[in-house]
Amino acid sequence: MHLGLTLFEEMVFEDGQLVNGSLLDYQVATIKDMPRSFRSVVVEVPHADGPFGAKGAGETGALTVAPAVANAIEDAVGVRIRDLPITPEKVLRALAEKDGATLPRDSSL
Amino acid sequence: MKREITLNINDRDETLVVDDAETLLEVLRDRLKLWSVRESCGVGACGSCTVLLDGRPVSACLLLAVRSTGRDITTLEGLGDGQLLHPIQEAFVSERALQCAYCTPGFVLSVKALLDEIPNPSDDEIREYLSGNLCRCAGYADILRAVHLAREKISRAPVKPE
Repeated sequence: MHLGLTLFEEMVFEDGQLVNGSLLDYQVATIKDMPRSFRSVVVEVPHADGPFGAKGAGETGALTVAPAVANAIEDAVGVRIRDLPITPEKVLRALAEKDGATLPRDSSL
Repeated sequence: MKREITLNINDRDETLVVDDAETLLEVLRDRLKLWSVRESCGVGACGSCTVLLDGRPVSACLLLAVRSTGRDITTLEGLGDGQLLHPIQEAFVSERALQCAYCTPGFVLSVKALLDEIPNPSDDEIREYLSGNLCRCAGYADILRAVHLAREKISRAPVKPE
């Protein structure tokens, strides 16, 4: 569904070493992160090179989640986040920068 | 140190010699060939190795086999009767609540414990109870539907008491 990559998932490296290489530290979406409701809209466009116009249907649709979330955030608070995952910290930094302030950098970001 | 222990697994006594350091997961999989119990993270974070201990879900990767004696251990193999699927399994099939299915045994057992404890769970209660089981294919919406269907199936035709 791409929600994990949009909101949580990031491999963090320090001095060339992966520091969150287990499921205790690398956060993936749980059932509690699932939206209350969501609707899938299928846009059918025949694929010229596929058998009978068919093409893969699964992960292609996942690409839409990140821009949808980024658009929603921009619509709500007026800042555009351009790299994933879109964490609360990144939104806070963007809001501060918009107001001309700068938050201190932390190596754990 | 090695010692002989007896484990009650799916209503059968299994006596075997294990090392003190062996986890329940290792014994169930490697010795008893109960392949439904799966290792993923190995640190109790993902729920793939969930088994029921006296009806409560536990991560078999964090539990030593020698600490599991005298308890009723249930794996997915103990849920159906060998011929018919358990209503929860039926619900997972008909709602297609699986994609790669690696997490499915853990989910099914967590749902079993949930419905035994809370026969009529709300959506929030289901989400809270199942938040310790990770699904990397993110089939959570289908799993939620499967839980509701399983609840209906069980309330319509109660399974025999265990």
